[in-house]
Amino acid sequence: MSGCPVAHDFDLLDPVVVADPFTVLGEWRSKTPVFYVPSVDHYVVTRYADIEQILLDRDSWSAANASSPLTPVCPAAQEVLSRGFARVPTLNNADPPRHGPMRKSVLSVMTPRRLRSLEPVLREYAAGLVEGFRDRPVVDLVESFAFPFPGFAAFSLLGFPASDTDMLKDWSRNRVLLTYGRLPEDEQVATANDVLAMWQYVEAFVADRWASPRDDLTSDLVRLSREKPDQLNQFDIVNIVYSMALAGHETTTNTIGSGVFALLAHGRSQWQRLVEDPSLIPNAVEEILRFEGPVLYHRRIAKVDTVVGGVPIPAGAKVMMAFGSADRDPEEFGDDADSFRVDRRDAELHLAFGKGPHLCLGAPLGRLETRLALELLTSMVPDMELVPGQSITYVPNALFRGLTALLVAPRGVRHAEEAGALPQAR
Amino acid sequence: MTEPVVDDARFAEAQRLVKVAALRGSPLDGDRCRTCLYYLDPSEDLSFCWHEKLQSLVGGDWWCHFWEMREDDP
Repeated sequence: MSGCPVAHDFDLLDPVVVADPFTVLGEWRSKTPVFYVPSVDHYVVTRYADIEQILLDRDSWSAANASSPLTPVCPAAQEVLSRGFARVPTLNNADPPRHGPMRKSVLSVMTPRRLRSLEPVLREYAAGLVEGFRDRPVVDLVESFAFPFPGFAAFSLLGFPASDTDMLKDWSRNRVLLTYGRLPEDEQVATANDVLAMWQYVEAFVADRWASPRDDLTSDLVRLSREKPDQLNQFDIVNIVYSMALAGHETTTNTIGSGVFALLAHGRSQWQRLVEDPSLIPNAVEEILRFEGPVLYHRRIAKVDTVVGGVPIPAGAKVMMAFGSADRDPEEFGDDADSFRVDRRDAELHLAFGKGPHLCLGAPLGRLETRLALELLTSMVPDMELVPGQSITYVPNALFRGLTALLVAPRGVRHAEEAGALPQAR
Repeated sequence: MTEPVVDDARFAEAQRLVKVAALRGSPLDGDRCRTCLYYLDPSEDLSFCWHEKLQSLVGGDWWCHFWEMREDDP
């Protein structure tokens, strides 16, 4: 730690930090942009330029720890996982030479053509969700829209039955809490059971598709494996599908929830701009990803002794790249980096999907879903407003940032009041 | 010799492309622009990239993080 500031009191799961990590990270970025946190044994890197340097340099940095639990799982939960959970490096956490073939396998089945064919299906499903709540006085947008929509999208792509969506989404939430939260031991055991159940579900699902492929991404991976067994085997497919069964929706749920909150906050001015000019929506998606990206941190391990932001980092050291800080770095986004503007010109330079060789393969799907969400919500419920006085809380999780709920009045607060769903405040 | 005149606006735009796409002048793990879906003419060493974020002349042996597999890629 020689030459590196040490943050003894920095707690990623402090409720104050979970509620607003940007202020705390911004203070560190302006004073000591690289610092060491003993409680999690990671260096934290906060500046855009330093994180960009790490993401593009595979000679110096390994992704091996990208999906590891932030803090060790307790022995009892570990015992549960040892009964069959057998994950190996896949996409997010694989290095060369394994990463290239894995990435190529997924790219070959997750094509622009497949996404184009998915768009009308997703639009119809999402429109049905909005139709279901547009006349209700008050609705939790996370529960009624941001949660089910990305799950449907990801699971449709993979081929999971729609009837399993709720179960899979619940398992996914627990996966995130076990990996990036700080659960008491009894909850870790219960959550580990869910992780194991999800793994076994995916194993059985892949075995089914292996025996009788259909028209879905998992079956395409099976066909690819038969054509190129040296590139991909059945176990690899289980790992890829298991990985996508979380990454394919959890982050988009959070993006949509946080994004709609940002649009509707501060007097709805940014929301109203989209209502009046839908051509701004694609850039608004980028600005949401920049301003309220769903992944606050991503991790790497130093393969060699190196230097980041003037701070020496020894080989073997673990680093957290604070995307949530980089995407508000005034050096990159200007003095108003902490402002949310749907017409920001450089919004697309955000690091929400990473950058370089590990750029998130789900980025086109995430962008598509968020764009569809904004198109449908601004056109079908243009008068939507936040329910005043609600308590905004985030999932108690260090790495993923997502709202637990977002109460909105689809036809406006006055309508909700008149329907008796709110106290008469006016 | 006269001093070269740099068009600052075009230079900035080129820099932006490099940044947005993580564009580099060498292949990555054997993948290169020539084998990318968006490379217009694989028989040429230089060709147009029609990915919406680039829309630019690129080299056949370059790579960027928007690389997508051609359907005829072996």
